[in-house]
Amino acid sequence: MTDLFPDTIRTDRLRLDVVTPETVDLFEFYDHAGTDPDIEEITRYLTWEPHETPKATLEFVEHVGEQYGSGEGATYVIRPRDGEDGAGEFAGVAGFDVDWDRKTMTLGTWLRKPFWGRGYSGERAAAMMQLAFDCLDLDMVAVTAHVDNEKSNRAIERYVTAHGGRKEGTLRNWDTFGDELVDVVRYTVSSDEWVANRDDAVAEFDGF
Amino acid sequence: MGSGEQSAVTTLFPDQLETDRLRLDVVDPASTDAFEHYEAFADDPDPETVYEYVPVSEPATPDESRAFVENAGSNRDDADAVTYAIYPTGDEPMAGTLAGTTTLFVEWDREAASSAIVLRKPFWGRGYSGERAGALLELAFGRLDLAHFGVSCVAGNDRSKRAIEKYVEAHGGRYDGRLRHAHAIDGEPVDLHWFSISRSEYRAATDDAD
Repeated sequence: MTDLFPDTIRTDRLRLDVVTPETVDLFEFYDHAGTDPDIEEITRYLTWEPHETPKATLEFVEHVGEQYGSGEGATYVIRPRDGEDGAGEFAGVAGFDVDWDRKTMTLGTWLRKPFWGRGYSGERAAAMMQLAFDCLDLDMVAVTAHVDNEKSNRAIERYVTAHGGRKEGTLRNWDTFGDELVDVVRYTVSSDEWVANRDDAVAEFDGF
Repeated sequence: MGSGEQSAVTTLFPDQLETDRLRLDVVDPASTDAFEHYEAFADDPDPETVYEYVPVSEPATPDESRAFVENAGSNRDDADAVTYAIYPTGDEPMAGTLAGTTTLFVEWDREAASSAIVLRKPFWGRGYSGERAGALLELAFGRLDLAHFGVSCVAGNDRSKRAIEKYVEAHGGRYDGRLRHAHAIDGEPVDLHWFSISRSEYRAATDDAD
């Protein structure tokens, strides 16, 4: 196996499948990233705009497929496992970039509205930290969120604190979201902090 | 371009800035003697300390100084950045000696600027960094009408952090936080301390000072 990142990740309640041109169901992805009835609300505080056509989805899928192939990052479709409400459905997307020089993985995620409030984001983040620290020998996991995205910031603060990490500060004029420059909040968890606060939940990684 | 002509782009950034005790002369091939740069910076008796936390190394040959000067000139032509050579003036000790260089980086689409400085050790402890920062901030917010200024130093560079804290506070700005592993130097991750000043903060601070 020559991939740096798994093609499947399993947690207690979730299954994540890597997005590449070969593995994705393009029109299913477009349905949710483009025409989901709540997509404006979902993307309100995210760096990307809803996909206007399947071509936008194709370009996205090709881009994340290239990142996966070159070991720069990976993007996954999140589906609840059997026993969960909505098992097998497209619940959202989880992704990360890795900067090998900085030994840092940066996380990103979004979930469809019916799957909000279940703690899926924290569960997904825990799996990514295990991947970063146990498998990839990285030093740091970082997350940023738009300063006005209250829901996201609450969720991130919860899981970052649970893993021994910290909120670093608010960075002004930092990122471009659509056309605008926005302030973001940055959080990090270090490898030592994660090890000291390691919990029992263990994610499984396949295909690398 | 003959002498006496200046393109519109190069006049964005003035050829010279002056403060109470310093003269900042723009660095570009037309204005700068690469050998002067080389002689000032090469064979530094304490290179570890001068360059420890700065991702620039001392010039090993006059050609590296020449490349530095050319690069500064080309950044100025592209309006991406402007570099100044710093000279103490008047009765300052070693007046007229090249004390260091400083660069103002501009991202026009973000209406933002940042800066960096390398100051030789004999010139430390005189407050030159803060004084030079004041001149660059006035350039950024006054002449160039930018909206935001951000500056960082590598965690551990306490001298730099203290100098930045002072001038940021004096100009209405704030400390944003310690960003862990935000940068890498020579393949090693480092933490950065970030500071920022907004245009409205700068104006409030400098209007009050008048």
